[in-house]
Amino acid sequence: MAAPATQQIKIRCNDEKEFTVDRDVLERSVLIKNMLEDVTEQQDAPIPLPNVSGPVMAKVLEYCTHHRGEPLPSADTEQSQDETRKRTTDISEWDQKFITVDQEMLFEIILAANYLDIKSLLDVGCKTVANMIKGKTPEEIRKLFNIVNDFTPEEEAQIKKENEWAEDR
Amino acid sequence: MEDPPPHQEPEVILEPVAQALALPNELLYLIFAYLDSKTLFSLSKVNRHLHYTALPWFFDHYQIWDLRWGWLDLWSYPRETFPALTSALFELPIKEFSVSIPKDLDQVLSDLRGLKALIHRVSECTELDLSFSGLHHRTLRDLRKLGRPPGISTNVEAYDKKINIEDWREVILGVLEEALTKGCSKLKVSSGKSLPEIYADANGKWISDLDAIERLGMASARSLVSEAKQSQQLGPLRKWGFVPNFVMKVLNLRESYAEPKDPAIVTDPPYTLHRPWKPLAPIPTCKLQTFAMNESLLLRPPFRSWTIHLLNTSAHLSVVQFTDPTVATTQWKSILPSLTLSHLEHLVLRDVAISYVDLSSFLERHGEKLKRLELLLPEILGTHKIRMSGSEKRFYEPMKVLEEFSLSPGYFIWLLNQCRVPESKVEGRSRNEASDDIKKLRSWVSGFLRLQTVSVVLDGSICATPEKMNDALRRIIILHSWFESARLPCPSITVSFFCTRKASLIAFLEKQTTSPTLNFKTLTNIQTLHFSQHYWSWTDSPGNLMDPIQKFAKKFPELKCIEFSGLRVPDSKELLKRYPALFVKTERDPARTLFVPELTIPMRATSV
Repeated sequence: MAAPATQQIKIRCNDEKEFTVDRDVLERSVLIKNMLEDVTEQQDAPIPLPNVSGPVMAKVLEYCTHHRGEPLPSADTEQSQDETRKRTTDISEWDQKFITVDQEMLFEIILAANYLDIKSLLDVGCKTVANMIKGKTPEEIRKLFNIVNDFTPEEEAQIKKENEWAEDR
Repeated sequence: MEDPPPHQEPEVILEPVAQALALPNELLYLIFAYLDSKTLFSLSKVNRHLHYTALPWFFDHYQIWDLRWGWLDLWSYPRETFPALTSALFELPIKEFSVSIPKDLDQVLSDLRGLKALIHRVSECTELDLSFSGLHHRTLRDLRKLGRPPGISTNVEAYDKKINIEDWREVILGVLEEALTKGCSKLKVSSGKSLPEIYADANGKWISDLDAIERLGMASARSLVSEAKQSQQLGPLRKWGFVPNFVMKVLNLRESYAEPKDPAIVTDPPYTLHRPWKPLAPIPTCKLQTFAMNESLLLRPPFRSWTIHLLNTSAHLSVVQFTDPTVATTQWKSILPSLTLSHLEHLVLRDVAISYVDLSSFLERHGEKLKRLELLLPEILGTHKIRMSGSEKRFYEPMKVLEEFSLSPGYFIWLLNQCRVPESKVEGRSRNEASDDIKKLRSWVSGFLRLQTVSVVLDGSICATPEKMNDALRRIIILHSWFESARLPCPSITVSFFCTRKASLIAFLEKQTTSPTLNFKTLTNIQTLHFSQHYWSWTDSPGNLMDPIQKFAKKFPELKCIEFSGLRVPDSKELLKRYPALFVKTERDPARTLFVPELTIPMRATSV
């Protein structure tokens, strides 16, 4: 169903923040797209999005606006994308700039993209996290994400001991 | 659209510890998909949660191991595999290990040590299948030593630095012994032709066999290289990493080098046929039941004496398989007398350069318990060595409990000779002339009380042309007449076409269908035709073989079954689809496909 490009949709985030957005921008989200398709009558009440906060939604909308009009990945292309996903962690220049946010926001965006079902944004987020981790030692990863080493001394010993033979190569 | 509002604190504040990668596991897996194996392994060492998510994902993603299966099957795997497996904090319910050691030389030793550590930490290891088929560098190094033919760019210098040949013995035996300690009942070691062969010299110092080759002189070695070049054998080198014929020459060079004496081997054995020369002292705790060896690694120095000791002392060993070991005939002469396996029931010798004469005394010693015997030996050795002196010629005891016998056609001749029945006289000789022989033959044949199945294997490496195949099949008629003249029911016979070249096979089948030279009416005991597909001998689908096979099969009056083995699964499915009425999918005797877990679909030839 081809919606008029001018149609405006209202959404409401979990912090009561509301946005009014062009329908084709919002339809980057498969979740919202399906919702809109299910609703035949024009509705004035904003669509509630209880899992997304206003600031995160603003970022998500920024992404959707930039990528509006691009073809959505269909179920067919999904598999081949899975194939190539492992090899390429390249992110386009605009996306790279867009995703340069603090860690907290980054994870919020990933969660929101997952919830809203925006596959390309989810990919950008996951790739970014992967790029941050890639090639780092366990200690570096802990520092980077402020993770506490919760291995017991015995477990720690096993990991270290079992790998003595492997590390001297 | 509105401007993005200034950044606010989200309502839900996650704990700082969990904050980092506090994503649902499904999202963590999406991230893992972008990570290489090294980073995944790092992640597994960050904290417990990541350990329990990243490591199982790693194993699953690289198809290393599935918790449900209980076995580990590694043939192409990331470098971190063994460190990851041994460091895993969760239980590893692995019992069966199948590992193909990678090509990467600097990984070989550390992976073997890792495998040892892994077997050490599991509670039980029932099966170990170790393959070195990935290693061809050994041969490349040979070539370098022999003058390095152009076009081989492998970094052989790096090989020299990385491989300390003295480590080989310690590391390989370490894995095998660890597995045996953990109750291993099936042990298989494959390939390894490309591993360095080392000997202890007079001073007890290990030296490489390459030094031995050098001692023979570079001149003769170089001429081998140029010979190989002239016959354009170096072409496939790039593809396969070695040239079989050329490799054989190098191996022959090894043989001509005088090997320092190995105390475990008696060169002039003081044994008699029925009494082992060596008193047996089986170790009852060793659970080894099945020992299989593909290529010669474990029968070469420095492993040979270890292997012989293991075989002789394994109290439960009942199945032994040697396939294609590149051990010279002269070496078997000393190895076989060193072996007395008190419980041997199933012996498989395939493409092994053992002369029948040497095998004879071994079989005499083990004949009382052997139930299944597969002797697929290169025919040329049999016929070559058949000229025995009078004293060597002896009457061969029938095997009373033998049930199944697979053999190459040339072996018939040898058997017939052993019974003093010259092959040429079996067909068309006068009764008087033959009566004595027939008496002997009858008493001899009747000694095989339990013999049910005889398989005649037409090996493609011997029966390469239709003429030779034809010739081989004619010998089955000899076997048949042999039983007939003894007035005994002939066991059911299976004819196997093993590794046969497809074009030759089709030519043979078609010739016998249109203008048969065989008298099919006499072949009443041939009940099964068996076709096996070696993975490189029939590169395309066997589909177009089916029509000639079916026509050929109709010629046999008593044929009950056509079998295929070694087909890839898609081929089998295709055959099932194309000939649905002819196929009945059944499980074959699992013991028979023990080492070749290939799909076998017996075909009920309902229309023949």
